[in-house]
Amino acid sequence: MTALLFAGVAVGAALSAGVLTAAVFDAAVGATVARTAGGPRGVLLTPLRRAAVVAVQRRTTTERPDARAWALAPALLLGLAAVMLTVVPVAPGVAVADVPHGVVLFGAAAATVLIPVFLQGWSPNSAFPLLGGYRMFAQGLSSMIPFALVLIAAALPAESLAIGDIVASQQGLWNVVRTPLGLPVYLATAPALAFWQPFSGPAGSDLAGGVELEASGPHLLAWRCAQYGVLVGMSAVGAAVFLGGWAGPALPGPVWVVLKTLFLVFVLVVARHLVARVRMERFVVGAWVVLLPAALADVFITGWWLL
Amino acid sequence: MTNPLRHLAAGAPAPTYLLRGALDADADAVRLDPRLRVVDSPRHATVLLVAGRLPDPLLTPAALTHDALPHPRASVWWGDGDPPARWLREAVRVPADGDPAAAVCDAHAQAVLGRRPSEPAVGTVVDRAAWDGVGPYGHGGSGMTGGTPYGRSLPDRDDDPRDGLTLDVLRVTVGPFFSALPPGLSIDVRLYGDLVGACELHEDPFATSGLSFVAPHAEPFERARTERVAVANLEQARISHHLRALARTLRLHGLHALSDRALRVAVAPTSSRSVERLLRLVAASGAPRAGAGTAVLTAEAAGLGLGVVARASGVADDAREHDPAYAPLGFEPVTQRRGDVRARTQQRVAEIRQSLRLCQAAGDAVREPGPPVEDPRLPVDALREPVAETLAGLEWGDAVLALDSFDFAVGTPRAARAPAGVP
Amino acid sequence: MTSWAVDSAFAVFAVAAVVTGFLVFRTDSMVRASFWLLASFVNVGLILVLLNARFLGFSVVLMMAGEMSVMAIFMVMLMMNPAGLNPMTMVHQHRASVAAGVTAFLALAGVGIVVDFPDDPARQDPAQVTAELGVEELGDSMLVFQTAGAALLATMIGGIAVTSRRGRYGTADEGSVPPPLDPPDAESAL
Repeated sequence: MTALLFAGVAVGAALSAGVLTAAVFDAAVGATVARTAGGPRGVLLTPLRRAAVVAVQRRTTTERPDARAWALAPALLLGLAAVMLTVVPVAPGVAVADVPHGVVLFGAAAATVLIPVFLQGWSPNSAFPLLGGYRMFAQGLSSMIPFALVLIAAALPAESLAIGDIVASQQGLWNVVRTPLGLPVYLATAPALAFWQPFSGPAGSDLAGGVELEASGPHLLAWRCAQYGVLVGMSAVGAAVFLGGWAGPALPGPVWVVLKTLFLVFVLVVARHLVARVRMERFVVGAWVVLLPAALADVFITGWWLL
Repeated sequence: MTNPLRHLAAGAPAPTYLLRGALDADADAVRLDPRLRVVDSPRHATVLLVAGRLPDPLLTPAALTHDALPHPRASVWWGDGDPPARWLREAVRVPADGDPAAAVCDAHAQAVLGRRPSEPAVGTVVDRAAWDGVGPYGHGGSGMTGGTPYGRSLPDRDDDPRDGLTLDVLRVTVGPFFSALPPGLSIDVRLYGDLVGACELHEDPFATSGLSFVAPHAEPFERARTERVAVANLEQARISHHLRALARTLRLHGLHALSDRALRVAVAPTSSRSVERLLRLVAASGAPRAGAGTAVLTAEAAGLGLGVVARASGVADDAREHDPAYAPLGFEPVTQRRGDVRARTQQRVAEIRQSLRLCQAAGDAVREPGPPVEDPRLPVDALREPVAETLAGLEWGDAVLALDSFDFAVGTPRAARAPAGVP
Repeated sequence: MTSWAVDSAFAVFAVAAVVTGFLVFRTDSMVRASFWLLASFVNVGLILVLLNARFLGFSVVLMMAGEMSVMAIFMVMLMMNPAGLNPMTMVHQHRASVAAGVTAFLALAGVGIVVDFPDDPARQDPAQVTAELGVEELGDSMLVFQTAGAALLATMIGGIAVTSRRGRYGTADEGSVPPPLDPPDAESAL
């Protein structure tokens, strides 16, 4: 029981820290790209201030929404972000849930992200959020298979589906080299599953906010934190599976895990501010015709290398 | 516990929803002020900033937009004279030459800290008929559905244009304050899911109410008709106009930070190095390459006297070609070939670069009034039907990008785009 | 996990699976029905995790998330009920269905009570369970499964490539509308 409590606190703390760091990165990179004046204090405080404004607003309602499903959506997304963080190993044998099938659990959590995003779009009984929800279905279903395939390709050298074993198998050579197409395909499909710009069709500005259009107040705050949380979770697992997790000279293992996770978060945040949104039909065709064969090729290349 | 939170919220950049009306000040520059943050949805805003006079057809939508803001909310009326609507009389007032950001920030802080009561609803509440169904699930009628669902009729069913499948059709009017459309423009769409089946643009509400206005950055174009204007000023105004159009396009592509940067370069005196760096970043983002083959406007449909849109369709019609002030500068019109969204965006980028070169070459040259002015502003009524035809059959996101690529200047007087030879 | 924790978890998941399965037919919206069904499947997947078949359990959740999404899409696309927000009755021939369901439940319950199932606690190493499962299901027919899988994948990719952007009258980003009745090249009879 105390182990469960400790695990919960650890995951909560990691999630909060990750969300805050991702928000600060976002503000910092945004300010740099926009050439906005403002020192480091401004960059640190702005996400907190913006979160406070959203928290102070009251929740609005639309006509005949599905209130329960609408309330469930951010809670479910937050829960999935927490599940993603539980499978990340910070040291050999140390993870909140180093289950022997960590990759499959992570894949299940990532696939289930479709559900709260669609519910957030369908429940308000409003046209543009519904379009955003359907875009998420198209985007998520198209990117799920390449996403899962590159994770499996990374699991091949380890001969195990446990993320801790995958990290341990990278002692000599990181997977980013051994499975060369893995990290690029992962970085193309993971933000699509997290509806992160440049795959932000579900919450896009051409839908005036998409699934987030009708949300306000603490509901919106929980939603945005959950999206950052999913981003951090995917970066953490990507760092473990492709960048060698806790492996690294000089610094202790957990510090390397944090640094590599933050590196991937930084890459995704920079992509958000510098890459235009990918249009839906092009993304669907691209995912099935380009990314999926690339992921398959990744599996074959890894297998050939092992033989 | 809420008090520290409210104090933290009061110091934040005020999320503002901007309603653009007829104003003699630069409403775009408000986006750059760090004290406020213009948001895409009224549900994310605490302050409604009404910038300028709104024509009568836009007053009810403005009231409905006001009611969409969540509590605590406040309104700010920025303009001279009496506010256009009764509910704006209680709002914070800022004169046209005043500082709207300070008023917005103040209104936000007061609303959040509870010092100013949150404004009540001002739009009429539409009374839907009560659900009138029969049977254990209220479905009533014949078959699986029937009765009057929540006071609205069931949608029509029609064949989807793509593959003939009979699906529901959503008839909806989008606008006039939809953040992805030009401000003040409404469109009636038949949506088949996310596909625009048929579309009709409403008339310019400012033109029909006689409320046309000239944005401050476009003043050189108005003055050039009757006064002597330096060529460099004219070209800088053109750069500013096209950069603002580019900023709107970038925002639609989700690149809000890059859009702010483009707006910053547009508002400040332009140095060609900053413009070049911006254009390189924009090109690297992939935004100008979007929309190949989308919303093609043929050269015949584009016709003459339509500025960037015509030149992007391949019509080499530029009033500056016959202007004696531009002859010594070696001016040649730039055109694109296909007339799609990509062509129009790239035409704007090319014209920005062309105007930079002209600015440097012109030096102190002055243009005499007389020949027609090449005005980049495109009134809505010039191209309403052809544009609506090009939007048919496009997916919603593509349709929004296409509509944005035409860069309609809502509120521009029709006379601004008189073709060559017509005074 | 201690025995009482596992038993109570099983009881919770089992009751939740049955209740959410029942709610599929009691709700008045197709989207909600799809998601109640998803909840039922997730609970079954969690029971599989309790049975130490963790790979199967997590795979069930992964697969069902995608599949219920596809079901929601198809239901809303093909039915008259716009987006599932209009109340409608979700069942037909419900007397016969209820009778069949009760009969099946009684039969399976009878089997569950009468048959002597093994009651060794599931204590093997989960990774070994997965390996044995793989060998048992695919072992001799691995080549067949690989070929069939590759063929299915090629079909999916081909189908998407053919239909995704191209409607009957062109791609959506160029505006797919039916051509007008009078062909553009026709000369008008003067």
